Amino acid sequence: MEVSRPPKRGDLALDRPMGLWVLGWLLPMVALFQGLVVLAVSPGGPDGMLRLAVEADPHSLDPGQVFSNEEAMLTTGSAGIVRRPDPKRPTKSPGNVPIGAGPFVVKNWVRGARIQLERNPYYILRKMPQPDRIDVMVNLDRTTQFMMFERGELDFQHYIQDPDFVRIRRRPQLSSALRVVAGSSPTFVFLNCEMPPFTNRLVRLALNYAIDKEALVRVLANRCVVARGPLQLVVRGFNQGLTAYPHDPAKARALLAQAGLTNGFESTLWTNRDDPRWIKIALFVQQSLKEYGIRLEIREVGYPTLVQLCGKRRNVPMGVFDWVSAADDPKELLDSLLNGDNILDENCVNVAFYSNPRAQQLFRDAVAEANSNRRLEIYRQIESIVVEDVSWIFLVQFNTEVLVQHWVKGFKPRGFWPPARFDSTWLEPAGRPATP
Amino acid sequence: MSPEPLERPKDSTLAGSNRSKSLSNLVANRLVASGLLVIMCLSVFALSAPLLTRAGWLQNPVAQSSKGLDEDGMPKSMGDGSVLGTDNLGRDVLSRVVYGTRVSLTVGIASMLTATLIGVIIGIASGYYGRALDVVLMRFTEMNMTLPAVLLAVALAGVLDNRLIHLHPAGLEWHWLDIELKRGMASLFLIIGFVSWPGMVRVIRAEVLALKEREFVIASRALGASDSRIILKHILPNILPTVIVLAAMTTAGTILMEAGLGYLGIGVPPPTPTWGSMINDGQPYFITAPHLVIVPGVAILLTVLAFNLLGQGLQEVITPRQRR
Repeated sequence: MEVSRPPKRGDLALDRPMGLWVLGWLLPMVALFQGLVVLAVSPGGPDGMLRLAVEADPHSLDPGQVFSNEEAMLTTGSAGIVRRPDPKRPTKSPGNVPIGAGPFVVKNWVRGARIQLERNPYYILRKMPQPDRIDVMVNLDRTTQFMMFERGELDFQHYIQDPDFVRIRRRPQLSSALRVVAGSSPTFVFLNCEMPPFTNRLVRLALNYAIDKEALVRVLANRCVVARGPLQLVVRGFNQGLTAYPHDPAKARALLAQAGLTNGFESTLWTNRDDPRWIKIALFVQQSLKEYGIRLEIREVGYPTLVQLCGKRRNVPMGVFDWVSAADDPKELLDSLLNGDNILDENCVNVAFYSNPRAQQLFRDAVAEANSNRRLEIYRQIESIVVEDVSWIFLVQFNTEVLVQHWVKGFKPRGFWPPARFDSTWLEPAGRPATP
Repeated sequence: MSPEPLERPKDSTLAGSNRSKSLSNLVANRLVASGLLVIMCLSVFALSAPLLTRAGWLQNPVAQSSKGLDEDGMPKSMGDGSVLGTDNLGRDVLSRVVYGTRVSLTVGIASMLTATLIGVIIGIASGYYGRALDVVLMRFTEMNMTLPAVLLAVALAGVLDNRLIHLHPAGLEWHWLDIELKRGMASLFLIIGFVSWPGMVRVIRAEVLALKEREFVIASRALGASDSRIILKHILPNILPTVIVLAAMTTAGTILMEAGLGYLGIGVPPPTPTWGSMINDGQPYFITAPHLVIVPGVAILLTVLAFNLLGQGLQEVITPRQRR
């Protein structure tokens, strides 16, 4: 890769033929989304990968000035592929005016087939990243990915299918490659608090008692834990005092009767058709609630459509949804999904359109609170209110699961997004088969 | 002197005396007999499925049971508590395949009827009236033939997004004219029927072109018979054998397309069991629980094969000249 001119402040560092820049961690994230990353071995061996040959340019941003710590910069989820900035055409959109540069740059991109990322020699963190290159293969189905992993042709795999996961668990040589972070992704059915019958708290509460979450965990191949509240188990500030709503059919029926819905009701349950787990959950919920006379029609749409429809006010009564936080902070999930101050008519992330004045005041208090412990305590109070108000059917918290070959060293799975980072990862070629 | 009544042409329809002979020929044909046997078996299963469930022979095809899964949440294999095993939600595969027969046969046959109706109307109109109408209709047919049927069906299925279309003026409350674009068996067979007719039209038109020059048609026209009478009394009965053969062949195609759309997730919505959606659901389990894919796959194979055999057999019996 050639450097045509020294980078300047406020500009991107490298000039590349494709005119595309990779900021932050987008392409590794894309890779993870596709579930397939091959870490390439440096010709110089693992020792060569531990060093960055080129120091950060003096014109680059100083991390000490911009970020409180290096970790904060690496955990940011806001990244994107952007066009090369054109100084003649300034824009007010921050997404189109990138500053700084990510740890990797695109070396080669074959559309729909392969992305090759190379270490950015001008990356501001001097010791990172350690891999020289990341090869990302895209558009491979998950069965093929797993077969390639078994053959040693892949170093890393994310998004493991249920049957493959069970095979991994049953085979010791594969189970040693599995890294799990329990309870990192809450998956729930939101109940639109602005649409009847979910305007009635008793109905929402009844649905929480109506579903056997332990049975759902088994249907989901034991890859999750029962949710006790909205927050992930792994996030700071999770309220350990919360308990899950138990499966209590009698109580559910009594609550429905109290709400005047002894014979149940009809509604539609929206779900993402691209994720088999979401479809399983929808079918399970449909079947479970049928016993109470609640007749749900399942509507499957693609994820972007689902997000768009659910974000529209008084549009979707209930739907399967999930969340993966990018930061170890309770604010991200709670503020995005459950703060009544953030309700919009369109593109609303608070898909349950839940609001509670007491919770909203606590959200404001939390923002103003400088003391970390007191701030977390406020969020715990918010969690308790949310669980009491039951704007969701709290179902399960999925685990983060990744497969990593034994020759990949220094890898730490994360309970946040992205679930893997390769900045501190290196390879030991011993035992690694030659790349086909 | 009054003219003597003309004798009815013998070849205008299948003569009554030939009917019983044709029927025995049909049954004697091995292809027809084997095809019919499989179809009848499937039909009996499909019709009696609710009765078999009530009798306890079959389970509820949508009922999920944690007993149907092993301790890891995986489907149980054949013979492990159920004849054909269970699926990824613990549902009985045998029950789902039998209930899937109802969907496949209903959609397949209804689509075939839709396609046949469209094909016969356009084929007869085009062949009989000729001239500009023929040109317009045939170009329209050819235009439809250039579009891949599956892609067209996927596109049409994509339109079914539960929108309500008001066919009445805005000021009037004629809600009986509202149409909801909703996924279901009715919309599915209409879609499949709509994309399956072009192949039929060309064959029927060719038959009609030949028939309309035959003596008995010319004679009818000379006697003052109207076009509708000629079409209904003389043309239609004579193209019927061809239509029956085409219909049997088309049914195999429509069943296959229904399974294909189900596999793509745009067929009959869940939890209704369909063979295509069963294959789709079972695909990730192919290594650990191959029965999830094999059982509905065999059901599709048998049904399509049966209709193809029937079609081939009918062709041999009804149009022996083509066979030769």
